[in-house]
Amino acid sequence: MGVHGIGIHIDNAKMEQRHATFLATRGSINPSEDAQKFGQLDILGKQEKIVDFLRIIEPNLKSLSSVAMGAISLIHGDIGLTKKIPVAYMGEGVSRLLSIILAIATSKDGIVIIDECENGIHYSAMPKIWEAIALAARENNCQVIGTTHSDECLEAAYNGISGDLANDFSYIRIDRTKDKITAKCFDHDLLKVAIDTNMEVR
Amino acid sequence: MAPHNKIEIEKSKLLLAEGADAFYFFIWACGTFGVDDVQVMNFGGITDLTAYLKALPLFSGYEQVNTIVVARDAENNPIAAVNNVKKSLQQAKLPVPGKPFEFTGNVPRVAFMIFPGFENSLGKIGGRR
Repeated sequence: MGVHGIGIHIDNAKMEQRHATFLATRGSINPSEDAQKFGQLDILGKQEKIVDFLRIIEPNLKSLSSVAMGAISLIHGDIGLTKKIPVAYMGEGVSRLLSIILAIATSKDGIVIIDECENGIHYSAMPKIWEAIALAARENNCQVIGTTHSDECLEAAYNGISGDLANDFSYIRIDRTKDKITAKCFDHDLLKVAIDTNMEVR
Repeated sequence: MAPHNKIEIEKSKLLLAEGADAFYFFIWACGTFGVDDVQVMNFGGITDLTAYLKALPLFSGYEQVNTIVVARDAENNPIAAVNNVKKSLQQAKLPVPGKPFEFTGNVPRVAFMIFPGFENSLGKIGGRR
């Protein structure tokens, strides 16, 4: 600290701007924004990847379409009914997963931040979803940061992001003590210890 | 899926026991002798010790820990048991005592015990040899 105030000196810092997307806890995603992202990916022939991802929790999904409805566009899905329905009608989980995969797929070399990532998603589907997120993140060189207070979500991440993908994963526990907040970083192996021994790491 | 009622570090003295038999033995012993400032924890099998010691500082409540004691069985080779515990402590960047039942270091103080006895005896707590 000097006459000019407080500063931080960091050796070998690499400053770069990266595109970041924040997905809030509950449905504040603009459906039109998702439709726009879907359109970008559809043009590149990536629709099937998006559909495959959503099939983890909606196995009946056959295809997706971006449909203009007045001033906005909504993504509709074919789940074998007489006509396509807005994705929002398929449940909060499907809408949320769609927003997640669209954010990752359109954030090449960027960052996607998912708040309370387990919201709206059944626990049994979480490991497959984490695996799909990790694969999509690797494919797009996108850093995904998810927050959770859920043990089930954490275990699902551990189980889903395994094998070769495990090296891409770390769990950071924010620990609040009496006078400070510290970050404790678990790699995949250390998180296994916590899970196997039933330790509290939230 | 792990059971609920997650374990938190609640005491400043930790006794890390090898497996369920030793874990319950030490809980019973602490209760019997009125020792209430020691938290007994089960680190699993002996091959789990290194990773457990590395993970320990990341667990909730570790800031208060000032003493760590590792208890493991001699099994068929007490000398190898001693060397393995020392190696695990070293890999976890913890103080390494020269021999069993001896404290070394400072915050945390560290010791280890090899059961069933002091003088290179074979065996273990619980079960059959």
